[in-house]
Amino acid sequence: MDLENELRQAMAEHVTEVSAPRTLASEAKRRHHRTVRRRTAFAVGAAGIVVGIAMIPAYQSFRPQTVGADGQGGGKHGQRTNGSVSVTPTPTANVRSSSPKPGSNGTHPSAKPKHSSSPRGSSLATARAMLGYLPQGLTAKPCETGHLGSRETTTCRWAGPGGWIEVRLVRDGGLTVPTDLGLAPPTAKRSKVHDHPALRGGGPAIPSQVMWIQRHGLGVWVGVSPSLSDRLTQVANGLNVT
Amino acid sequence: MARRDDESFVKFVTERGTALLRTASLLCGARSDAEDILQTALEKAYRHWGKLDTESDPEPYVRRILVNLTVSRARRWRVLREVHMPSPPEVPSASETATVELRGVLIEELRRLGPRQRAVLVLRYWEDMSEADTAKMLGCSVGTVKSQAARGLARLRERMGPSAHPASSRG
Repeated sequence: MDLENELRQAMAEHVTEVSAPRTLASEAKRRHHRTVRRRTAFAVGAAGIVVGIAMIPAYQSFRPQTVGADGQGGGKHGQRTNGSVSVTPTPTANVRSSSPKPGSNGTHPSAKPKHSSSPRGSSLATARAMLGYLPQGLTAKPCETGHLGSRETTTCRWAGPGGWIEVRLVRDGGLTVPTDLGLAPPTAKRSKVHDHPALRGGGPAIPSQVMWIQRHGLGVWVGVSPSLSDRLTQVANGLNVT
Repeated sequence: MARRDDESFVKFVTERGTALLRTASLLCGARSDAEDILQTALEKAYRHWGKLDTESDPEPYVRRILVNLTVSRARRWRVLREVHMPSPPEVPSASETATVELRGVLIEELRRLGPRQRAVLVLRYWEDMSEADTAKMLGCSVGTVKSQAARGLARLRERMGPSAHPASSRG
């Protein structure tokens, strides 16, 4: 037997009834168009995801922020520092933007506060991260840190047409009770914030405010404009202090 | 240089579709697989159809896509790989019915060969391509084509029994 010829015959017999369908060309073209559509959709989807991921940090950077505090309220307590610093905000920031400097000025209470310029990006991010509850229309100002003796005070403000909020984080090794802050008005009453004993006060002449000791060495003061006095509890309870 | 258009693709498939489908059918064994693989090959060819020169014959190009697709798909799926039988099939007698049966068995045995070996046999004995053309189509050397064809035939002979040997006569 000639195997090669038999193989040829066998193959010929095997495919003798095979014929291509008439739709072969149109089916191939349809497949091609479907593949192109699928690839385009995939590429667009992938590009969208990539752009979306890339936009997150960009959005964080370009979110509109008003620069400069207006100095409203709270200035009478002498703890607030003046001036704003200009830097680019970054999302990674610690509440504490500069390390405390236990200084020799502690013996001179009347000494002028030292300004510690933290990067504005950090201070802005700090301000954004600090408030769990922010009334509508208020935007964050850069936080400022000042030193007076051994005391370091970081002041953050949020302001807008509806009023203002100010938060001060006071770091001092000697802070154990709210009165140690030296910020309580004479009419302050006992209260509680985050289960910490607090002093709360306010009136027609002074802004509504509450203060407490978050932990040994860290005191918190929160003040709001008269228009937001009914939101003070919400603002204080929503504060994130680390 | 003139390029091929959409119309020429339809014309080509209409004219050569059956021949291509037959080759595909022999290459991959099953009719349904053959249609699917041919459509995939034509889709790939259509993608680059506009770049093909109008003076040259597009069939070798399409055929090459078809062969490569079949071999790579068979390797990937591993469904058309060689299946060793425990013993050779029964030796067919020399009757007319037996000849038909023998050809059926030959096709079955062809299916059991490895994809590359089967491709060599199909191109050499169905397409009547030369060893050089087969080598070009498969992207290998002429020596490889020779050895693959010889091994493929030897394996078929081995499985077909003594009647398949060139020395033996049909009686």
